Amino acid sequence: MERDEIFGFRPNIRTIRPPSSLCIRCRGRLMLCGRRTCPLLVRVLPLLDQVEKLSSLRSLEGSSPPGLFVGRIGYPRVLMGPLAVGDRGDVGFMDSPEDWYGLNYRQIAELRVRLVRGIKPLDVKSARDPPEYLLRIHDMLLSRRSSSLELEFSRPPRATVLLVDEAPPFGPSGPIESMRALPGSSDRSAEKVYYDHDMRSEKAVIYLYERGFRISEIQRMFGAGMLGVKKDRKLVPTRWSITAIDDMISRSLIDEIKGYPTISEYRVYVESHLGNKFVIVLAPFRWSFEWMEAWYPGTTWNVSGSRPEVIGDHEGYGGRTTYAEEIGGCYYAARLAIAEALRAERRQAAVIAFREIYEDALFPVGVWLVRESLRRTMNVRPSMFDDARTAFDHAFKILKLPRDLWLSNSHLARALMGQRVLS
Amino acid sequence: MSFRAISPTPEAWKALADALAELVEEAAFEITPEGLTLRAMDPSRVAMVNLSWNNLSFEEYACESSMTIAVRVDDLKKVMKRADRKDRIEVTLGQGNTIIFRFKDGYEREFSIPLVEVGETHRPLPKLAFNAQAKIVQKALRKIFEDIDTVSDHVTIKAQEGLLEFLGRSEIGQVQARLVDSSPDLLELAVKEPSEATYSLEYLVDFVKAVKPAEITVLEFSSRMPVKLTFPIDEHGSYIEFYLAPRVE
Repeated sequence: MERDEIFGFRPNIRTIRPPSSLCIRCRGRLMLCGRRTCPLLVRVLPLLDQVEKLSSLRSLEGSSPPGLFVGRIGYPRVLMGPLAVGDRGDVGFMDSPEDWYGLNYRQIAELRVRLVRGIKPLDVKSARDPPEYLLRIHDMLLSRRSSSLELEFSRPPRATVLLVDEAPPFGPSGPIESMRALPGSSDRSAEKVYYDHDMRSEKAVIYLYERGFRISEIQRMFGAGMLGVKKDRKLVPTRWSITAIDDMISRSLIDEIKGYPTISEYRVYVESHLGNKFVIVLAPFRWSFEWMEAWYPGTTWNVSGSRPEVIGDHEGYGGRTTYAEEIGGCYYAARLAIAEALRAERRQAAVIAFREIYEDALFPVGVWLVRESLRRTMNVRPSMFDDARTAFDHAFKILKLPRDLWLSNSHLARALMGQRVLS
Repeated sequence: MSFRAISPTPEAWKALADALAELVEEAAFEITPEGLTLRAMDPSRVAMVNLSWNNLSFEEYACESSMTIAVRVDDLKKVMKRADRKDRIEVTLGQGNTIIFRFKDGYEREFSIPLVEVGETHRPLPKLAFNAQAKIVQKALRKIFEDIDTVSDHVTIKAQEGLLEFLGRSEIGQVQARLVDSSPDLLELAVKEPSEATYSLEYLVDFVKAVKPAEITVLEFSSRMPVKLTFPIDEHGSYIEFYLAPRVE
């Protein structure tokens, strides 16, 4: 167990997020965070009814999207297994955040809590020489279609709703006694990287990405320890694998865009989605990236605050060498969406992005929300400007948080506004 | 097309590759009987490198007719990483659009990298008049920029009669470095009028670190105008120049 999970703080970081795993473990029963009411439980309470129904099951006959859950608790011996629902047919969308844009919080949660997490303890290194159980999961993930799946539980699934920052909500979990799967036909590209025991995982990830695999598909294969040099393969907890994939792919895209000319004007992209507002400023300079978030009082990680809390991370042209501690997974999901758009345009730019999270952002649904929102935003024609001043004036008109608060927290904005060019 | 240039050490090539790597993806050399030149501007148009490497600087230099060739800077950097301090370097053009680097110290190694299509060349240099000029020991300048980099991503340079100051300030703290007339690291200081300007350290730190073989640096600037750093490569008049646009609050 990590220190922050016990004590409810991370050193050197403004603690506005109770570590979500603490909340999850406590689920409002123990009030480990010291609050009088649990911010998460209050919001998810109505869903628990639905989850209760699933918790009387001893077995489940249905399908897997395919989906995968790899837990973090107990690392390196983790609980992992397939996601399953009692429906037959194509249920792929249930574990494909790429299809969820437009759903509201309730719809997302309802969709997700119907999926039961089958779990079984496995050592992460078992991916090097997969036991039968893991091999059958691999078979399901080699297919890009839903698999028929039958699970027997050793005890009925526990009624839980697991909410974390990075991953989509997860529903009840039940320990697997036995599993029978009928996977769809394997995909050839997936097979190529899976059976290539010498291909480094980063290369395999990019290979799949460039062949049109979705982030969620790549992340599942990576999480199940199906990619990389055979002797290094490992199961990767879902929360980590999501960020790892966003990081790997965006780094590769950034390497590429650094070879392209800069955009020739200032641009401002705006998007509002599920209680979030995103304002992205692109400036005609070489690649750099800053992501800032303002959590308004009443939001998940600033429940009892009286004023918005601002956090941020950034990188220069040379990239990062450390994890984006303040923002976490969202930083990488956002960087991926923006780098993707620049790559499509064969341009580079300096990026300053602002995100405001208001009270109607009910609970964390995963970093896909940021990735998919930005993917759409970056496809819409932006407002264009000749100079930094008018571009930022426009951005701050749309944002709610006062300009000075944003600027005093930004590392790149002021620098960009003042940077002259050689004539 | 024939070209051959031999340097007794790889220092200048290494410095050039490292300096360019911070700025551009591709670099175009103009090769003439008089020597090698190169101009490259970063995509942001914030910084520019100007190389003048004349034929006297080489142990042997042969070029029959002028030409322009371009390489990927990454390729150049990878090759130069393999060079040892004592290697002699021979550069020639190879078959099938390649450039060949031969390292000789004991055994001989030969690296061949592809030439790429030449992009823009003959970029004019910024026309600038400078109000302050200082000749500084390059190692000291490097340390000053690195000192300031600990608290700030930009440096403010101030020059007045007898005093050259470097300042960095942020919410983390403040760093100040002073060179006065009597400082052994300040070899010359000429100030036409007091000047003050601010520059991005992201560019300066990397660049000054890359050209560490240079022993001295000539720093020239004016208020709110670009800075120019000149790094002599040797005593034969060859140099690398670096221009950087200012930051204005």
